[in-house]
Amino acid sequence: MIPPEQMEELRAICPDAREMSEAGLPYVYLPGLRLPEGSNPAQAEGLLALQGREGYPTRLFVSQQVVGKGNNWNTFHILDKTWFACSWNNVSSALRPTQILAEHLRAFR
Amino acid sequence: MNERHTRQEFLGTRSEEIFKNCRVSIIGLGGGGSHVVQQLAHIGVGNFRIFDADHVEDSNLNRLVGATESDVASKTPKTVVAAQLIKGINPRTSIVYIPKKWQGSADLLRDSDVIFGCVDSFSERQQIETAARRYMIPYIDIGMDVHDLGNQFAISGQVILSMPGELCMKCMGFLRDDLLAREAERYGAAGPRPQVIWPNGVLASLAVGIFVQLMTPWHHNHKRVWYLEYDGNSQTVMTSNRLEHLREATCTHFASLDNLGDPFWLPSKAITG
Amino acid sequence: MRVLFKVIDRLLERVRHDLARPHEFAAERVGFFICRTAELAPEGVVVLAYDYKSVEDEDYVDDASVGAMMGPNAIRKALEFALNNKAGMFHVHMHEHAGRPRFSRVDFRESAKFVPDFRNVRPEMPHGALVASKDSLYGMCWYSAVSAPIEIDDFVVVGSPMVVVRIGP
Repeated sequence: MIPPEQMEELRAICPDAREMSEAGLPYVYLPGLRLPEGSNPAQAEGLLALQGREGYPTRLFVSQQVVGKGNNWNTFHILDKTWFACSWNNVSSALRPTQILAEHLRAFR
Repeated sequence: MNERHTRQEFLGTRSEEIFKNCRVSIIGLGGGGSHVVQQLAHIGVGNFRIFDADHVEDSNLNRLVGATESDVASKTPKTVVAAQLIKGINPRTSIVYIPKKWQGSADLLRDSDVIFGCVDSFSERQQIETAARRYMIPYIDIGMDVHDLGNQFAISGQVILSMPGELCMKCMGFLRDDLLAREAERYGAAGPRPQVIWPNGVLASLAVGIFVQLMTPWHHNHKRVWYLEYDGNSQTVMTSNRLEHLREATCTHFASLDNLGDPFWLPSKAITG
Repeated sequence: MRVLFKVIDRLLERVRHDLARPHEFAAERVGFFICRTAELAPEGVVVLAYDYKSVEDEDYVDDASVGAMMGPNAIRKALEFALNNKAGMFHVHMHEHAGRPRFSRVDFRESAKFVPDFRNVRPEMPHGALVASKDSLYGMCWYSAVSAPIEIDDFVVVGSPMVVVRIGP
């Protein structure tokens, strides 16, 4: 469970953000996530994994690959949807969720 | 019973009908999956959903059942090879084939009776199992490996049945965070893994046997959990002794309702009219 | 539209056991499967039964004209449950024979009276009514804008062995 004030911080970025979980792992679903300026697409659904999976302490999955950004894109099936993630590792789970999100979005700058 | 299936009459008078109406998904149509597909077609499975994003390459011909040299030249999708193999055995089968990553068409898995996973990545296995649990679908996983021991090699493999409500692959110790992490580290850098036909054949046959016992049992020793370990050097198959230590265990990884059904459920216009 | 109903064998066994218990005056017992759902392409739903609510002894009404009559409390409790848990509710009773069961005229009539109420509290979920025999299932599903109930033509009891009750593939 994310502390309510930290969820509020996330909702300031993404108003419909909500916590979800699958197979014991927590996620934050981020519908309508605005991607960094100049990204294609400009926005996408996001799914922020706040706990380690596949050796990543945290990870950002997006509903569409960001054209020309990120390396080694891979396809995932999580929460019954298709997601994409690039290799962008070592974003610590000790950070606040908004910081984790910001760090992951740097992959698309 | 159709003359074709008279030799499997011991599976029951309804077995032909059961297989004909059964819906099976196979993810991964390489060395293991091509065997599975072939056997299921021979048994009389009537409805296939087959998934593989790859096409046939020369290095596949040492093990890909149904593939030929001309498939290499034509870069035939593995789904097409599998579909042709199935149709050659039984032209009346219904086949949905997806020559793309399965994750993009996972909704087609939802009404499967059984899913076979014949993939070569722990991450894929984890995702398939999670999808199978979401739709209460028994998942049968197969895979082989060749280990370099320095001055010789060891062939090993596994067949696992992950049944909804029972122990999952994480419970069984087959899927582990360290293995997933190591795999992710190697991503893009890993070369082709050694793969050969005969262990794939053994593993596929065991998997199909588990499937048949689930659908049309021929004996009363029903098992809800299978974890078979294949030792390709001693040519033996044993039940993993990990299960011994898990007799009283229940799965906690998929216990929550979060893991069941569509987590974003809202009916679409197609249903609401 | 097609409807696929799935239940794990151990849950179904628990249900059969509950429905077989004697009652002071009701000739039969009834209960509700509690369900999640998802869409099936091209046009259908899969109903996933994950739990069961028995109708409590005191919530039956003594009515000799039918095998079992739920009182208003039973329906109220089930409606509240559906609302609070975003659940699809499938009423279930037993026929004590082997082979594919069918709804009697009374089953059809009575189901049509109360099942639509669940669509009022949880219109986005499928709801319905089932009858279980010793080795098979039959049922009807009421779903969304489709006003007439749909016969469920595909049941899968998940376990070892699997039991599939299916009309065609």
